[in-house]
Amino acid sequence: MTEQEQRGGRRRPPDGENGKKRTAENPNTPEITKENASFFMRGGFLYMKHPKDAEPVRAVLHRDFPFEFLWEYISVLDIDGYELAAIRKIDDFSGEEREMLVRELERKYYSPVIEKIYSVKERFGFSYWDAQTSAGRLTFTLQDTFKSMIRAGGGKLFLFDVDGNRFVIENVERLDRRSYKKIELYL
Amino acid sequence: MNLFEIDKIPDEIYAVLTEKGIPKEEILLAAYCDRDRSHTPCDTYLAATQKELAVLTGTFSRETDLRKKRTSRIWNESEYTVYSLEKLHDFKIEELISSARFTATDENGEPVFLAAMTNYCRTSMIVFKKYLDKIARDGSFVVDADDDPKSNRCPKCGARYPEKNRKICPKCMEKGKLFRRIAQFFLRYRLYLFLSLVSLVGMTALSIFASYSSSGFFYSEILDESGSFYGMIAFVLFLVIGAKLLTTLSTIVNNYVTSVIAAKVNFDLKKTIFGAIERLSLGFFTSRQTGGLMTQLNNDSNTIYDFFCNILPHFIVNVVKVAVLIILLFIIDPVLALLSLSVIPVSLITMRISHAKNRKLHAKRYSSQRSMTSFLADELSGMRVVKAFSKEDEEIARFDVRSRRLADADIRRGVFNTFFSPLSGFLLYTFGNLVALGFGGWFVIQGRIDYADLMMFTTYTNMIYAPLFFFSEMSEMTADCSNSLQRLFEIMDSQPEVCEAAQPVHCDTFRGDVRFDGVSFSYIKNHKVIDNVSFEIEAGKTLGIVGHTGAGKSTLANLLIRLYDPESGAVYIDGMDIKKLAFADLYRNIAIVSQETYLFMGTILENIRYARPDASYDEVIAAARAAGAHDFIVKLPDAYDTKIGFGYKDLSGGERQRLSIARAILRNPKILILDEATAAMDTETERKIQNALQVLIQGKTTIMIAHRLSTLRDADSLIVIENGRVAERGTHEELMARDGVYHKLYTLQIEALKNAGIA
Repeated sequence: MTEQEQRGGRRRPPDGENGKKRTAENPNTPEITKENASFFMRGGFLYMKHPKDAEPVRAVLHRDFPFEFLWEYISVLDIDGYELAAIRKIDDFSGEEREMLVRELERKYYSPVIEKIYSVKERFGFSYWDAQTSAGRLTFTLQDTFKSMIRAGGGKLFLFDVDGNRFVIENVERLDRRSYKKIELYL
Repeated sequence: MNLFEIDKIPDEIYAVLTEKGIPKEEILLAAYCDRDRSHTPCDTYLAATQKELAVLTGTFSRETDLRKKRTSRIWNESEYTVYSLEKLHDFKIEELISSARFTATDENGEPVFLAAMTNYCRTSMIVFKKYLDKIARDGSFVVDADDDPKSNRCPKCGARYPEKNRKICPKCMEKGKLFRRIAQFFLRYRLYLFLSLVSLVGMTALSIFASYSSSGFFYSEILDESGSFYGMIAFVLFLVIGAKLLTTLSTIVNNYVTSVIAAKVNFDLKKTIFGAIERLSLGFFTSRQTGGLMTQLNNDSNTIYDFFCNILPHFIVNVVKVAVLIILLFIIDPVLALLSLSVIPVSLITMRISHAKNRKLHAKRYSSQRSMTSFLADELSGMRVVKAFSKEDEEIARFDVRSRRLADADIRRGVFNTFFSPLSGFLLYTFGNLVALGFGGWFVIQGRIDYADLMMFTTYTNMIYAPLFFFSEMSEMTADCSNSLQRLFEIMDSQPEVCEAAQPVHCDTFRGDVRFDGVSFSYIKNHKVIDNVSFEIEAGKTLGIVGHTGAGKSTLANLLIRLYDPESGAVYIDGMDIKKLAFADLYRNIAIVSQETYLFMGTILENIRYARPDASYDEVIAAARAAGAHDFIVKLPDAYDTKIGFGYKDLSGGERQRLSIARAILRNPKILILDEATAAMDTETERKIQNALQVLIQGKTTIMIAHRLSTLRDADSLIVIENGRVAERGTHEELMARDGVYHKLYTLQIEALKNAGIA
């Protein structure tokens, strides 16, 4: 009996074909589409049903390239972080199911979009930001500003605050002049 | 028991809960989340009583009563659920990327989604979960001082301190406070500082006097027939020589004081900083870029020294100098003084603008420099890979981009300074002189002042400009110093995350029973490395820990030697929580032999004796023999006195490892941790070291962490760690019979060895 079972937890559904565990080490992680897998929500959690599994399994979506591809290369993990399956493109699913997957990813990678920057103040190794975002006007703090930013293609800039929240500037070049001037130094 | 309010809960919410049968008096714990269960932004309040957990979701809206002209807050409830704590267990904060959810498991083993939040609320919810666990288990709790929200928030702005262990709000920190604090440090040099100041004042007074005697005084008193010293040129020469001699004397005193104080202050500052660094826990170093830490601190101590021992005295002297010169100018002619000084504000404003722009250019240059330096550090350490993939051209191109950016920043800054500095100098000097000469000349013709006065006046106005330039740069120098001070205090104020108990329990010798009880730990947010791990080892027995790379095996060792403390759960030795044990006793009784061997610069003897400096030569040799190190040591020309370390004899991995085993043998601990001790060895060396290890582990409680499972076969028991949890436990035979993870790993390794022709 595993430790998890001893604690009264649910046993993970049997592993894939021939009882082989589908882990990241297994190069044969199945790529899934709406043709061979389905997703549904139960009690607020996402579940995946795969024909190879006897019963649905709780699934967690994970972006393989979170800064380059938001809707492609998505790993489906179990709650222990093992890869169960891989979604090449979110568009391989459609309708309500696709919406559900998009919603799950958006919740996990919740990143308000910065539209305007009112101020950035450097104080002793931290920078204090006041910005208008898609989630309203927000203030947040970055520790070591240079290290708390990642530039992606197309002028996209990701910011990570001290709490682990993420923010995104869709295109730094398209920011208004005043906002751009405030972050120019870090670019 | 009092209510522990982790976040501020509005009175309206307590009223709603009371209506629903949960009066405030019964609530033990309350917190706030900023999402509902579908992750839509709204207000979710969690309240726990001894038996229940209530989750209330909704939003506040404002309603204005136009008749009474009053606006009130209305609570619009969207969801309310009450859970019986008896039916829930295994509460968890499931950390996603920038959000998290609070979950539990019900009596049927089904997951229950309790609440969702963004990372803003996660810290509070981790505290909520901690105390909810205690309520569910014990029915009560005592609040740790560290969890008190007041102690974690800035009293001024209310924001949470960005670093948990450093109760400082950078946003509200005053520069003045930093300077006042460091002033205490400099008080011990007050005699030197006083001497420096006196010599500087002397130099300044003498320079004013020398200018006076060679200009105004020379014309009006020596050359003018009506002067008191008419024709006494030798007298004025004597005065000038005297003034010069005294200036030289003051300069010598000043230079002497400066050189003495510079060395002393730098020494003391570095000593203070290094002392503070050594005191800190390992977590401090892993959370910061430590590569350049000492270099940075070296620069910082120079900046601080320079500010307090050089800039500050000059500032004081310049203030006095400007004040004296202004008085002298007003004595000569108040109107002319006002007219010439009127140029100063304009020039100062220009200088301020110039400095602001310069600061920006400097910051840009700094960021380019930083980018290039980190690129270079990275590149040089990875040169083997670059060569192996023949990526030299690409890397040169990458370097070019960064180097060009730095060159561009340099050019922009250089060009700006080329134009602006002379321009602001021109404004101040030329305009100041023009005003003085123009109006002064006119005043001489009018007979308002004489020629000697005009000469004195122009000399004094020229003397005033240098201090003004100095003042305009002062803010930049102060900013530099305050940044350095902040970094200095950051180190000095950092509280070690792992602290010895206020009244530690002393225990000379351990029996050696080790117990991990529900231990969880994470190095970084969103990633639990150890999750609710429990196991026990009886004194004198051996436990093998097995698992994939990154499963959390070494972290367990780090927790046992208190390099880190668990986030939840506890580690016990002989039934005593290791947090209560005195550091010295803990470290004396535990030794670790890991893959990473640390040998410092010194002789082999000193390195082995590091474990026990009072060990005799015989004991050192015996330990080296037992570790299988003696043979290679005696082959060295200087044997035990061979210097090793940077720039000296380079030992192989196996030799280094055997020295570290000798160290551990010399220490003779009750508990021994072998963390992948032979992982990097070839089979021959590994066999030798294994023999040494067998000697070492006799009669000791041993934790063996190994990737090669064959080395763990003889362990009394084994645990398999997967994803930070204990997946399996038992003896080798039991685990092989179970056909689980261990069986799979073992079979794979044996197959691999067979294929390689080893097994």
